[in-house]
Amino acid sequence: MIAFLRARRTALLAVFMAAELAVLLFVLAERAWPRAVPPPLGWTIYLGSYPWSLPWLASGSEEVGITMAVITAGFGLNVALVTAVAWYAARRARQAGAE
Amino acid sequence: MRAIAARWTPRRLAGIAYLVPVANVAAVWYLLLFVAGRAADAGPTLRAWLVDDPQRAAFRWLAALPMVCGALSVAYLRAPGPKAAIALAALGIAVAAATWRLLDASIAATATLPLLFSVPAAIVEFARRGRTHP
Repeated sequence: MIAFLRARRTALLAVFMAAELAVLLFVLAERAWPRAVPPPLGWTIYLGSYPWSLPWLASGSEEVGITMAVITAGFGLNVALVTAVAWYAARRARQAGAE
Repeated sequence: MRAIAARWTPRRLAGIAYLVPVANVAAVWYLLLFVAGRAADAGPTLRAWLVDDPQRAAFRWLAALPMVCGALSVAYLRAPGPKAAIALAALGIAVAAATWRLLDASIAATATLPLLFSVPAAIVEFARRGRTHP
């Protein structure tokens, strides 16, 4: 699996960046259309950053800049991890089917 | 044309673009402290905004933003490696999101502008390195 991930580092990095940009787009949409953006979307991003963001969020700090950095990085990391695992599983299933 | 493209790399453009929010926020602070209020009261006013004001989180971010963007600008102009470029782009996205969350759109837009260069720079640098160092 490590070799599989290493061979696809650039694609996974693009996924990580796309997830981070999705958080930014969500914040922008929330600002532009506050009533149109469903709250579960925000909760998905918030909870989707767990468990990496938990230590910082539990401290209850007011520093929004660090909070956003922690949430976007945690969410991006989780999306990249889920993508990597799903990709690897799909490849294994395809290989098993070919055999 | 190729010489211009080689000179104006996305990293260098991102470094220059991060100077825009620095100048913008510096102008905002000047207007807030010296035009809207009296110059003699600038110190106590600043202290009140950063410590006692109910919206102190926004004022603190307004104070931190030029420093963070200045640091990002310096980091980009010093030509970071691929991994550093990724970390800087990720940090830039978080900075833009926090700015949209807390401050006016005119400031947030300038903090978002450098992402046009920093995100492609991170991915392109990483892809190029992946081709040269498998």
